[in-house]
Amino acid sequence: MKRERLSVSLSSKNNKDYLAVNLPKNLLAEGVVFKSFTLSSQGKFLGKDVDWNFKDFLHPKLVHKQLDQTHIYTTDFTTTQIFFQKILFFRIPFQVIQYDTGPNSLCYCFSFFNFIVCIETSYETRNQNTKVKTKYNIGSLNKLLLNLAFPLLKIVFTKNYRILMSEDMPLRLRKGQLRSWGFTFKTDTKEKISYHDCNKITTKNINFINKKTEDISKKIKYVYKENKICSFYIGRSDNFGLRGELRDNKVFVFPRICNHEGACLDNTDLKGGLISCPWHGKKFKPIFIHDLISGHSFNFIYSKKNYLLKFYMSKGYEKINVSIS
Amino acid sequence: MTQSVRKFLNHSGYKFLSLDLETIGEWSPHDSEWNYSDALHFPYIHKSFSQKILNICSETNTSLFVQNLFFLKNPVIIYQEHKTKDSHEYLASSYGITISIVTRHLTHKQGAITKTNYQFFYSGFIGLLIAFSAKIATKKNYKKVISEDMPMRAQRGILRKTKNIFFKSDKNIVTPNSTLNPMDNNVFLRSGIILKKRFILDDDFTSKIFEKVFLRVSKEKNKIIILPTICPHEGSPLSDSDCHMRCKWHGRKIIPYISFNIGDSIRNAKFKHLNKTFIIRSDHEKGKTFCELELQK
Repeated sequence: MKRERLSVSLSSKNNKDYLAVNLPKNLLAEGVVFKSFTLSSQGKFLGKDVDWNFKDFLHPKLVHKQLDQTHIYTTDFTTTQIFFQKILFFRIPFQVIQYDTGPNSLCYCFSFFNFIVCIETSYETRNQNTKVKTKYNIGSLNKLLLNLAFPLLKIVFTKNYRILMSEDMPLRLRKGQLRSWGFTFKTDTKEKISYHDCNKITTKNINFINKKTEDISKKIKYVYKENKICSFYIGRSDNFGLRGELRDNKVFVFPRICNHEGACLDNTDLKGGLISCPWHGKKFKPIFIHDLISGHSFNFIYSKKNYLLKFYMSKGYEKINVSIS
Repeated sequence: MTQSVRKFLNHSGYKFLSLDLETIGEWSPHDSEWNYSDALHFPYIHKSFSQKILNICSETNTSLFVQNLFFLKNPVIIYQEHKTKDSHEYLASSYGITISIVTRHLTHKQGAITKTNYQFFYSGFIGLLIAFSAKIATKKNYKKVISEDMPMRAQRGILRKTKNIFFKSDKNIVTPNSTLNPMDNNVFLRSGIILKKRFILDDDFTSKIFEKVFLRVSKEKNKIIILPTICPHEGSPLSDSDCHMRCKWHGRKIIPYISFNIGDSIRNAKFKHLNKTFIIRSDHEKGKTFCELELQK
């Protein structure tokens, strides 16, 4: 490696954090040989949603099944983690530093065996449609070794990318869906999402709309499972929609949307009377619990609206009538 | 935060090999703390590996190191954390193992002791083999790195012993990002030193060193120049080879504080050196040229 003044390659974000800029190019000048390939994905969401998805370092534990993760350190613009991934029979730790390289782009960097990997991701939005480009730069100081290993590494990384994307895409699409319904997020007003914006599950990042957009007062048929467990859904998965669970003649009413980042809570397991968010594990208590022995209709207040639920019985439960005022 | 990573590794079934190494020397724990935090000395001091800073902030430094191991150049990203004054913590993952390092800077008799504990986390038999070879490599490497770092600490130990100087950073934590500017002046002269010297600038004059205040007045061609004998940045010794020198620790260019032609009469020219103001005068008396250096109180 050539010896040069370090300040040349560092940029200061706020006089506190210094970051290497143009990393692959910078390392190239120092004798690291790179080979690269680009993968891309797209969908109906905004660049901000992709940005959030990458910066949110709390979701991998729950969303990415094949990854194990431990967090080391986070600043406004960087986060350092160790990811554990199974490759063949080995569980290999990857110490990854991820950082913000400007609006709409990110860089991941980690070293493993003889290689340095810099992953550059950038996203571009056109007509509500966002294209995400991910460039894998695999570098080594040993050209021969790189040439030998590159085809195999490309296969491994591409496969891994497909798995990760298949798990991440629903998160982004869900955000796109919420946006199409008119919801916004508190971090939208920021020029950049900071890594610190993503480190607490207690924050309520979604801005709910308090006007009901469609009439959901109607009769609903609910799901019947082996005469015992049944669930029913009212409305859509926003702040007016409700999820009901019937257990031993009791009705548990849950929300259908997580107030943290807007995850849909429909298909999550009911454990110990609580449901947990599939993205970050935020726990939700029932909004209302009703014992059907004491009566077949009940009302409660949710989202500043009065809900009235009526259950009609014939050969078990069949119909629910919901009215909201 | 590295504590939580070690906990996590223990919980998820990783075992570790441990290695304890220590260095004792006649310097202050502040010096080894500074030495570990300092991010700029690598290209100048350490020949066996090179470094590239990826991210640096007030508590951490993440850098890419390239080191020769097993006949190959190996890149490793090392995360460094410095949250308390007396310790540095490191994390690095490569070759399927995770290495956690905790260094403590403590006082030892009149000097300092640096205790370093390495933990090589591995899983499986192959992991054990890698961890074992990493342990041997580390033992060897530690000696080499310390032998390169030692002169820096020793020099600062010597400076401290003169009782004439102190380092600005002694009071606070030496944050990794505070070490990035080699033009910062960290060496301060203590108050209470009295200096007022008058000397003749004749043909025999070559140079005069003022040890107490780390200044050198020397003649170059027809000029008198005043230079520091230690780098005002972190106190590296400066040789008198020529006036356009660079500090051997961080590459700072050393420029003379003042230079004037012999024969010029200088009245109260002031310059700042180690956070104190000095006054230089030059005049003629009975056909001889005199020079006077004074430390302003």
